[in-house]
Amino acid sequence: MGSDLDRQIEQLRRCEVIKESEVKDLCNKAREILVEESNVQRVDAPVTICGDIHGQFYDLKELFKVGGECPETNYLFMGDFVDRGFYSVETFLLLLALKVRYPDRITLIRGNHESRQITQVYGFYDECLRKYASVNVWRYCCEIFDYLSLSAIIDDRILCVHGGLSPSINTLDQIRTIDRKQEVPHDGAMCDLLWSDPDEIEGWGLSPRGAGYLFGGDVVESFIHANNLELIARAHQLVMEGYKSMFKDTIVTVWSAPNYCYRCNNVAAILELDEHLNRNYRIFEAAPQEARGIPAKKPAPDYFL
Amino acid sequence: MFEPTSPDKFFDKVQDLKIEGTEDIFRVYQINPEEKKTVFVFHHGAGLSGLSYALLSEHLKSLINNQCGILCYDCRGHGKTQTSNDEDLSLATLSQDLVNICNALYPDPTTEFILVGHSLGGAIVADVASKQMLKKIFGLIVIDVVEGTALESLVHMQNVLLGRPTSFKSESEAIEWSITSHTIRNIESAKISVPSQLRKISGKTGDRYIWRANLTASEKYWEGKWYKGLSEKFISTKAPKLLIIASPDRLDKPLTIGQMQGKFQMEIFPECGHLMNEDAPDKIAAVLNEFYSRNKVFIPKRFNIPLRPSNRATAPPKN
Repeated sequence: MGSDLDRQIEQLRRCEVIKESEVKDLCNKAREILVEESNVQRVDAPVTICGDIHGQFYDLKELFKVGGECPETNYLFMGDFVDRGFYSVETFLLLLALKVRYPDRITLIRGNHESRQITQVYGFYDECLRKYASVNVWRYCCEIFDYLSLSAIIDDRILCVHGGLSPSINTLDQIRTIDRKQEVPHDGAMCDLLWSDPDEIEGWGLSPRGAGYLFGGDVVESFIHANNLELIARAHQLVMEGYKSMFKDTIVTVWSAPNYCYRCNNVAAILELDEHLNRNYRIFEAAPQEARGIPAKKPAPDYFL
Repeated sequence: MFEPTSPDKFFDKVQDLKIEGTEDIFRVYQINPEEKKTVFVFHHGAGLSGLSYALLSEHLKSLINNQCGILCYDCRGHGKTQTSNDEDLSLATLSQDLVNICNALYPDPTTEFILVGHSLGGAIVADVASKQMLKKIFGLIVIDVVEGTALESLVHMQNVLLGRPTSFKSESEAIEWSITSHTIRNIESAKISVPSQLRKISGKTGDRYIWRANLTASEKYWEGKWYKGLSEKFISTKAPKLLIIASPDRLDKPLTIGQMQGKFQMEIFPECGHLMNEDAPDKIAAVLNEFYSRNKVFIPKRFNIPLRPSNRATAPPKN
């Protein structure tokens, strides 16, 4: 199996899909590992924190060029592996295969796009159907989404979560008690962790997204204090400069999809933490066009008035 | 099977509203026409009419529990509306028409409006909302129009228009065409909305039905006037915003950035064609009602989290 898995990883690294039966086996093995993980998965520094990838496979390769390959570098990905980009299948399966091969060198937590409902309209479902002529691979992956952890804690000091905080949650222990093995709900603590955004407000606010909340610097301050943290790292929002620190450096957004959707012209970032939790941001750009073979642009719809 | 359906049962009040100081008489359709704190105002797309929202209005009425009013109307140059200048389909005039109608029907300055526009209508409501042309704007909802994509599509538009039949023997024939050409994917809606897009003319060979709105003549307004700046207007509007589209591929760069920064809500219905509010009136009504309920009052929900003995995910079933 070891050599089989290594072969699959090599194949996926070349952006080639593996067989449906291999996906099924891979997901079964991944499930055994993920089920043992806590909702607040413990991670030791040094570690490199990454934000949204969204199926931009060739840009993920750029990320590994900048940050180093797994397992040499210890990685933490904060969700949104799939949707929008052209290679969600290869992207997610590569990360999952690395997780199975090197479980202690890569941590995957769940983003709001790791959901049946969202992937059906934002591309991953269609991509699975196109590449495998069946929805089985999408089903296997969605089942794995339900097992992904909701957050991670680095050396007890840095909380990593895809979206942000929740008015239902004051302590890490409360996160630990969520029954996470389910589709992302429409509201409640689990939804908020994956959907909320920090904003320049006081307290809590309505999210313009229609899910989760906005939360202000005071909310972050009291959460950090109550849980003896120094930083919250999160993803979920496109930052044109790759990362954005807010509220006196108590929360940072890390965005790792350069030129998002192949049209936004943004740079991407990863956050490297050394063994003393010193922070180093690395900025990177999209893979050169010739390296990634973009499928033809869809024609404009023949309507409009 | 393609006979027209009377629109009367879908609305509480249908009237021809004359705007004071003008010669303009608008056909308006209302639900809960008495003063309500919040009113949904619907602007249809080019070539269509207020009745393209008939089914949606009926569904919405059943959801909102009489809390809100609903207003649809035939815009200038369309449906049963008659104005002093039906050819003036400029953005400024269409926006002012919307404001005039709202002010005439809902003079109470505390009335809050949820502006909903499909296609061209989206450009109108975004214009009104971003310029704050009404006193209170509760929300802005745009259905299947995005500046970048619209501008790209306009080059094909004359061909699309030329591809339509110029006249029909009967209303039923037009309804049949709208279904077989997949213009509308909901026969129930086509039977209500299509007749209002037609005008009867009598000739030597008998009656014919031609298109009521002269879209070919409106070309001068398309590019520079209707859609330019739409994305910026949408994003810069302060009120809560919702974009309803048939596919995420239709987003242009400013909206892709805005969406991924969490600046507005987006709902996608891939099963719909461009006439989304006709194709899936029940689903769109549900989304509109949720948008209203969610933004009406803000109370952060605090859920009790049940304590579980294990901090692991539930083990999978053995098989």
